[in-house]
Amino acid sequence: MAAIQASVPKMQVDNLSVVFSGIAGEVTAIGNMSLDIAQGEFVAIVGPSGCGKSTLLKVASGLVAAHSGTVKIDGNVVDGPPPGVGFMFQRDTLLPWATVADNIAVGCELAGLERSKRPARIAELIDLVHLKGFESHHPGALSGGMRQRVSLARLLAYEPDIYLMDEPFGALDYQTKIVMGRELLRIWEAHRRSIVFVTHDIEEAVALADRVIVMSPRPGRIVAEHAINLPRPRDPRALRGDPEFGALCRAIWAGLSISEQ
Amino acid sequence: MQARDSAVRSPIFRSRAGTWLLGQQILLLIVILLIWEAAGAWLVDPFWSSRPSLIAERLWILAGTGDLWLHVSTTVSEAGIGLAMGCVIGVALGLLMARFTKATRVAEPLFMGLYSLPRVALAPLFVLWFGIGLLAKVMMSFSMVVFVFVLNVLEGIRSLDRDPIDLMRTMRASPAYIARRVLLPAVLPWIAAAFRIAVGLSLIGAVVGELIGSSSGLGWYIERSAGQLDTTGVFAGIITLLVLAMVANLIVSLAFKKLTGWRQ
Repeated sequence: MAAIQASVPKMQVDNLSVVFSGIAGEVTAIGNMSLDIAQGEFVAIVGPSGCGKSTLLKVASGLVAAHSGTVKIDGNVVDGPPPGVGFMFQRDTLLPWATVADNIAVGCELAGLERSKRPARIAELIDLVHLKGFESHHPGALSGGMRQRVSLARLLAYEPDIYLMDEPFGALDYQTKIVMGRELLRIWEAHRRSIVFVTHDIEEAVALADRVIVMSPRPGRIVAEHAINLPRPRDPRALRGDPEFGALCRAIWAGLSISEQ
Repeated sequence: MQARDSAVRSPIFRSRAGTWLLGQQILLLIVILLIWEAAGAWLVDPFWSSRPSLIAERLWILAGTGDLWLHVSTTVSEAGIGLAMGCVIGVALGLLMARFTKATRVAEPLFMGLYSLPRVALAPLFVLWFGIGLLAKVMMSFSMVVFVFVLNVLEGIRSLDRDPIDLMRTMRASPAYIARRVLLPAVLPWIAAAFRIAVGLSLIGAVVGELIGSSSGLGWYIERSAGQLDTTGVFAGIITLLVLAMVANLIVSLAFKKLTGWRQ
């Protein structure tokens, strides 16, 4: 059983196309894309805005329907939100009227965690994302970075098997972004769940992922793929000066500028 | 909604600033009453404007005979039942209209027409249908407030942030869970705001109904006093209504203060 599961990719994208029809006619967001993501793999997708990278995550989480082709999670075709998939938006999407603890509780509730076990779990997660002392604050009283930490804690509370992250740190300042990346790696290295991480920041992608997928804009298509064999555990802050890291970033940059022509 | 929220925060007695504000509010009242009294004594014939002392005396007599309580309870129950019905039916209707957008678009011109219709024009019809008892005034006050709840609930849902709902959908939340966790808390402040407007409107509905046809209530007392050229009686009724409205506003703002506390 375990052997069979290991041979099935966590997420499979087969000839996926997504077309949006708007006032200006039809726009092909994703054109014939195929991609496999292995169990426990950390994949980053980079590309300019409008290359359909967010759309891919929305299809995988069941929010948007595929036009043709399929996305499979654990071998099952996605048709509505599949189980065990956790999504994180660029915006924090917290409930403004709920406290930090109550926002994280949403993840516990939807994961079906027993009521009696919730307070301990929430306290553990608040500790994990370094928000101790802010349990009863409302999101409006927190900084952008802290709000994304709450979002991350809520996502962790849901205990997904695959994390779909849509520019989760894109709205944060440079330093906070690096700190959050390091936190994410620390958590990922402890649990080793699959992550699909969409970003437009090449350095962030290289610092975090096992593999970086480069997409072109309209129609969104994969134009390059780079394996990142930097040793783990990684520290995204220390990596910035690493020559191998720099070479990888430049190579991906080069691929991007070719696709723009 | 924002402006109303800040106005609502005024009757807080806790802080020193709150006590000072209350002191100023009472002072304003006393000054107005003194000017009124003086005007009645030296400037204007009390036949036209009465005098606070005469009004206080009248209220004291009415309270003693039990008439005051009769009229207050009549008017309050008419307005209160109308308000409660307006809230329940208005919120339900608002939710339905938000859910069935196509049907709403069909009914919208008629709905907005009814909303803009001076409801006073319905009063004779209501007397015809429901008599001059409690029901006619309840319906009058209901017709005043129900639109406020419908429109506020609709607006609350229209201004809803979709992202938290999408996020919960990816976590396979049931519609009931989303309703309880997102929809209800998002719409509650809008219902609270509707309440603040509707309290006054429900009193208007009740009093207008009483002016058209009734046998008790503050509106009836005012109408009867005016018929006897009893200015003091008219003012006694008006002052009682004023106090009722102020108390109702205070209750509503205190009751809903906790709901919107996270906005501060």
